[in-house]
Amino acid sequence: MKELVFVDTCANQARYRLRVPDAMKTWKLESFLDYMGRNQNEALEQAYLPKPAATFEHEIFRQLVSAPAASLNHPLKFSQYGTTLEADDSIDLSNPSNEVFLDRRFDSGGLNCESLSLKKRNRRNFEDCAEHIVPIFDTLFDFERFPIETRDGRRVASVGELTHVFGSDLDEANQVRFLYRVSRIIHGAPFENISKILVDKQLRGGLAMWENILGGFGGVCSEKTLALKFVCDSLGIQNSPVFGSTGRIPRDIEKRLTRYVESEGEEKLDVWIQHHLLKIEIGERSVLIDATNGNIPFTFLFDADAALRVRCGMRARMVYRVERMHLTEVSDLAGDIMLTISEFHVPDLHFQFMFQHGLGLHISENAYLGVYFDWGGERSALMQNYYSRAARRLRLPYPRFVHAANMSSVPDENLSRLLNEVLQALRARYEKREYTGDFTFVIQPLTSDRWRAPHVSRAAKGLLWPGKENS
Amino acid sequence: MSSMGDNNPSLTYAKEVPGAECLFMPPDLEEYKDDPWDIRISIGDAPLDEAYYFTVDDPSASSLTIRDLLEKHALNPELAIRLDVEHYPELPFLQEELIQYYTSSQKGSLQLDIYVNHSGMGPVHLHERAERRMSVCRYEDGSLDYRVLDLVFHAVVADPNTFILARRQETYRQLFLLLLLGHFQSQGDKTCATFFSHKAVREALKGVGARREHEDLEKTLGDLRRASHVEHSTPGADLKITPSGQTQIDALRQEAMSLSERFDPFAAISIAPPALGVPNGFDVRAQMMEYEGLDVERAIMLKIIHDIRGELFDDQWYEKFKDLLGFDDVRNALAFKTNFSVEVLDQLKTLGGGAQ
Repeated sequence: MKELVFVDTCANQARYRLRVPDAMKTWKLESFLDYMGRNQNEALEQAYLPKPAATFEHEIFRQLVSAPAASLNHPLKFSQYGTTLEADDSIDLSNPSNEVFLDRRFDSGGLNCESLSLKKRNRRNFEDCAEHIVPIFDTLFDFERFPIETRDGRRVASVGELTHVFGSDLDEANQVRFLYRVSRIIHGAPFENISKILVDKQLRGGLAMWENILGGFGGVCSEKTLALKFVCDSLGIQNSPVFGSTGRIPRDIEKRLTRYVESEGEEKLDVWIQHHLLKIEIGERSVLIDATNGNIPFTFLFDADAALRVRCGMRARMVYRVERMHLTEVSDLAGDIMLTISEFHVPDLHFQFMFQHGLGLHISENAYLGVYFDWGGERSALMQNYYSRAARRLRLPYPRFVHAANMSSVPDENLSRLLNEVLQALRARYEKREYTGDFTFVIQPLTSDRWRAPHVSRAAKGLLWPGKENS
Repeated sequence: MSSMGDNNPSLTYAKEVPGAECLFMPPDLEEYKDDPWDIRISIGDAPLDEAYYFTVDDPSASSLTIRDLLEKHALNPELAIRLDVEHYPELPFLQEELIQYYTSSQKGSLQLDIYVNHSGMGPVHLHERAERRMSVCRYEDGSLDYRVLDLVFHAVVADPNTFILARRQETYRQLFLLLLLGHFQSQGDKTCATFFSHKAVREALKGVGARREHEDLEKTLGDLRRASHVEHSTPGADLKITPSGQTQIDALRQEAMSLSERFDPFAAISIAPPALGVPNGFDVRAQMMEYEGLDVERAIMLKIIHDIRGELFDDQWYEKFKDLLGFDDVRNALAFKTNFSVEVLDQLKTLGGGAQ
């Protein structure tokens, strides 16, 4: 098999790979578009020979091609060897690896948000990939150890089954129990940017996030929210977005976001949305869930507690600084726009998370792994000084600074290998030429001096662990 | 300096609220006697701006004990309804967490030391009255000015490496004793009579059957005897330092002095730009020692014993030997060792004369 790679020339610069038989020398674009309009089983039934290199990545690509407006894109244009391909043209497959460039900017009309519905996109992704995603869910959710029962006492064995019974045959306690389990798994996944850097991915959507979580990785708050939203949308659980920011979120945020999209980024969006979480409806009940992790406590709040938290905000300390975050409930459209532009339209978002937002590569209870640009001399000293002073202020153990020349000094072999891979990835992918230096990692051990207990409403405890609501 | 596993007598807290000044027992405390006041509880070194607050409306309640204030006010779940959730909606959850700490400590399943921020003192006792431990917190912009009992909860976690720790302590006790003998000898006490006349030594020298409380000393003396650093001149007589022991003592002293000479210049440095002798600078001595390939823990221990020998080797030397005074400082130094890069260390080394 040889490779056919579609290289997105826009914002996220994603690469979508297909494997095509060696004997295939060309592929008519019209036929390719027909292939992309079918899910993977249908394509097989139609005897299409190319196969996706990665199932979930292919689903994103399929939706981009077949329903571009659903992710705020124009219809795609394909080009090869500098020539735009029309429906009658063929993709040349004569090389062992063949590249086709795709552009989603060209169009006669402007963009609008009418076709945008993350709920529909998630639902479609779930249905088209059920045979791949359901086993991942079942492995992670482990229904043996964390049982979910229908009203008539029957144990649910799979998420596939849950899609039919969630709203109808589960009582409130079992619905809440499932939601809690899902949220805990997401919270337990690391708060990290490493897995994005290694494969040059800006932001993972819900489908891809679950594959990543199964692989032991995680993501940042918006990715974790996407993962939770994916499960909710797949099971038909009502959910709505909540934004967080140290500044106030304006009342007309939806209008501003819509204008931003319709102007295709020309109109500035003067709002910094720093945090994204979900409010979920279970029957008459609202549940506010924050499964971000990092150093943000797990939050699972019912009704009045949820309303209070949204009204009064939260204090959050990721590493060095405590920030007061205002929370605002926003419309589904506003949430969908934010998550969609993050996934498809903001160039180098993963680097923004790491450098501008200061989230670094990884934050856990035990350590913060940061990275900074280092061009030696005074710059090295200034940065080491900055991190060391921050550590001393909080009486944290002093950080360790690791770069190419002292990588071998990292005692943990796995960590050393990982850092080396990240360093190579950063060197290869961070293309801002104003930074002529290299990268230095800062490993900041974190002490146990922090608030740890999850914020779970008493009423939730009563449903999750009957009789323990006061403990 | 905080989570070292033992009750650390040198541990104190002086955490600040950004934009405010916290004063422990200021002279004008009396002026606040008719105002409601706060009990603030933070965890270890966690910043105060994420602390738990409980407002006590009754000004005279400051005459209660800390135990009463915790149990009847700040950590009383029935009063959670009075928490300022409009400003800090997470307070009920913080209260739950603190109650768990407190309850576990009352049951004996967790050692919880409670400090008073800015007091400069070790842990407080629960029976102490709050009025003797009060602070005032004043915001620089004048927006807030209040009396506060500023408590810091420090939960002590047991050290899992107790076996390794015990082995290291044995080694350092030998070191301690050799330098102690050398010290007494250098004071003109040729036979170290001061040492051997100590009750603990006499007990320890009796060997089997000696009081258990002196078994550490008995063991260390036995180790020194087996290493031929001390010996009996005649059976049953006092021990005396052998020529080999004397050589060892001299070598330890020499080593300690050399460590001071080489590494003290790095006790207060800045790195941007690199400079030595900077007030309130970073202490990179431990990292420099590591960089030079030394056994850092042993080097620091030796240096501490030698540097404060005047304090250690007095009439109370036995208690200090038993507690291995200084070892906490060594562990703190290692836990908070700097980790500057080789380039920075090289520059500092050049400034410091090469740390040969």
